[in-house]
Amino acid sequence: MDTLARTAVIAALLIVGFVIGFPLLLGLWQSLYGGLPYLSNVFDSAGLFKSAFTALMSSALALFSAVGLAAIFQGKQRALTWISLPLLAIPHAAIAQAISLLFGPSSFTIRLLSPWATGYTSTPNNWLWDQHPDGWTLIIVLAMKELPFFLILIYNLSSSLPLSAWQRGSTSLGYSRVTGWWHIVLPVILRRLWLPLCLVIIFCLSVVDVPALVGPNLTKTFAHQMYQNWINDTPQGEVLASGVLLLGLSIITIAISAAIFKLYYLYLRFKRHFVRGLPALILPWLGASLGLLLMGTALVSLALLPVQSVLETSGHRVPFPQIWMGKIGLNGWMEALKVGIPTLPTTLLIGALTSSISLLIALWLLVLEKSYGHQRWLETVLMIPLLVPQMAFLAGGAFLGIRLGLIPNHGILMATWFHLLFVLPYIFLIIAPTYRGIDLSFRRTATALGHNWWSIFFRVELPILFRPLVFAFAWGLAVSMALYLPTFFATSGRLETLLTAGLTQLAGKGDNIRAVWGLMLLMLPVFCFLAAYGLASWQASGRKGLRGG
Amino acid sequence: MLKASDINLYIDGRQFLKVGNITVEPGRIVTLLGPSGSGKSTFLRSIAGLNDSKVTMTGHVSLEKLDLMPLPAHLRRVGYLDQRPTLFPHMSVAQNLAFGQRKPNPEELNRALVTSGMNDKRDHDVASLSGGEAARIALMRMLLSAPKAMLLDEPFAALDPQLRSKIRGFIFDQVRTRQLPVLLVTHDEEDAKAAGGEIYGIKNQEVAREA
Repeated sequence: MDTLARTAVIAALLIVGFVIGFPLLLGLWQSLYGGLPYLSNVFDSAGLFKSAFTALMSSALALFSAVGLAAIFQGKQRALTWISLPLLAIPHAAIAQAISLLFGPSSFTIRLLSPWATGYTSTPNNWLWDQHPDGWTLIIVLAMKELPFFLILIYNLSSSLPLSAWQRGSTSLGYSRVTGWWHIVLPVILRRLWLPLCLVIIFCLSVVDVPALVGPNLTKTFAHQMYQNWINDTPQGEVLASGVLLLGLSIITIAISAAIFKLYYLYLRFKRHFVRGLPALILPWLGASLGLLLMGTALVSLALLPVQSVLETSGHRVPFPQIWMGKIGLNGWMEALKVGIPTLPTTLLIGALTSSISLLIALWLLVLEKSYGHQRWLETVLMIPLLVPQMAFLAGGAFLGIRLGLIPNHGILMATWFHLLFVLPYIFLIIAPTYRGIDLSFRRTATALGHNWWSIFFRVELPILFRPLVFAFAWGLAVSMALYLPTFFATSGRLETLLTAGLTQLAGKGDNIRAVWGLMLLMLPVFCFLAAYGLASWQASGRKGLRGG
Repeated sequence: MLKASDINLYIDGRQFLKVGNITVEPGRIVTLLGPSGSGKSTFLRSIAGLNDSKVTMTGHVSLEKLDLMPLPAHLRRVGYLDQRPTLFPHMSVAQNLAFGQRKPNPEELNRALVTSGMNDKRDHDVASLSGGEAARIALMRMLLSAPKAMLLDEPFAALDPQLRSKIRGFIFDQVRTRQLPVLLVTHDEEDAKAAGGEIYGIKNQEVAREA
């Protein structure tokens, strides 16, 4: 690598420090410094407990279901991946919106089932499932969204294991396919799933847009309450103190999950009897059944959105259990698009800027890695924003930004910066395995042909990486579009993206308008992935060696 | 003339191969014969400057009296072919060949296509080529980059016996026609005999002349 390239990769290191380290550390410092004296003012044990409960339950449910599906449906990886990927790509808010419509007391589905199946002849008054006060709707939505994440991770981890050999061994000892997987593969995989589980728990603790749509509303989750406090102009010290408490809660929740894992592995160490036959199938089938139920419900709720979006007089204005009054139309679309379309340029601009910058940094880091070896600490630094609850440093960062005059005056810039914290780690994780996996002989051969470092990078490596790069770009766009809190804090709520506008527009609206918003949130990332697929296919047309690369 | 002398190769600071003196005259094909894992490929790659940072080499390597050691790999003008012909999957057959040219030269490119018998497949996807066709394209591309010496790292190992002698004949003819000094690494004695030049072997981690 020549001097220019060396300078470039060192610059990348500095940029990572600036992009990730600067806002993270300053935001955390601001939260601790400004919030610690007010801790006792914001201690809300009910909200804290509810947050821990919903985060742990949803993560555990998602993991258990994913493990069950992977065990029962071995060999059906392709089909399950195809179902998982769209669910993984769409924003949490889209599923939350769809579930809220599906589970609503006066919803299309309840009406379809009434009175013949439910017995309801009028809208049920004590119906809880659209915004369950104990947080069960939230748990279900979060589990639906995180299940595909775990499932795809399990498949990726499995690909590096000698599964066939293990299976031959366990089958010859008399274990069925499923039981063998449960006894042999699961303990190996589960150990590597702890860190992703932590990421999911932290996310579930911090999430605000989902509880805003599906509750719980009487005793809110702690993050949701903190967000409400910010909106309601609660004193700054108290908001920051809530961030500190949330950080403490995250540490405790992670410690609980670590203890559960430790106990499981302790149990495995002293286990002397390996269950066979039918009893051994109970847990895998239970997990798989829950998984199918979660994924199926999510897909049904999403598939119903287009129908609900054109039922003009759906929802509360139609006598229960009548579904519609014979009117189908696009009024819901007109009303929602009027507000939604103007937000698209901002949404796409922030997403495109974030994804492009993330791709550049990730590529630079990978080049650096190739020259100076695998830097594990660098990956850890990149992951930190995902391992700390967003509220804990975003609130601090936002207060600091306001004091420095950056927020809300430089909305796009600050939103891009805050989004980078969460998009960069994902983009790095997506392209790193492919970049590391580029056949060394490509570089060797091109060098022997007289090409220098830059020529090889641009003319050989980048075209070979084109497919993962465009998919990573689309993924970055999808992640950026789904970021609610970073957008909100970076702009003091003054810059509207599709997601932030959607959340503010939904209150009190008819089911058809809510369905359109759900669809818009769903379709935008889907369009991005379709565009990525189209571009990648165009580049790979007539080039068999590039497909699937 | 390609000359290597007093060569010591180290992996992670541990010596694993010693090479006294090898001289390859233009138009000659000198063979280094040895079993797999004896370090002969690493030696070849070190001459071309293509090894990773774990491998270090001391000694002298010169090509036409030019000291190669301080030069970056892409400026050494040493062609290198290994057993798996590496064609770039995003380029067509003709583009792969053009990638080897230092300056665009359509006539030369056409000649290379004709010589390799691939004139009718110039726009084909390289993934559709047979092993023999890929080997021919890889060699022609290397020759288009106008190397001053060639290093052949078991380039016939992945081919079936019938194709092997055909491709071997093709490659040897091409490099001899161009009067290039060639160092061939193989574990196959038939390849060594067909090369017709001096043969070196590896014993006790040391390269010594056999014939």
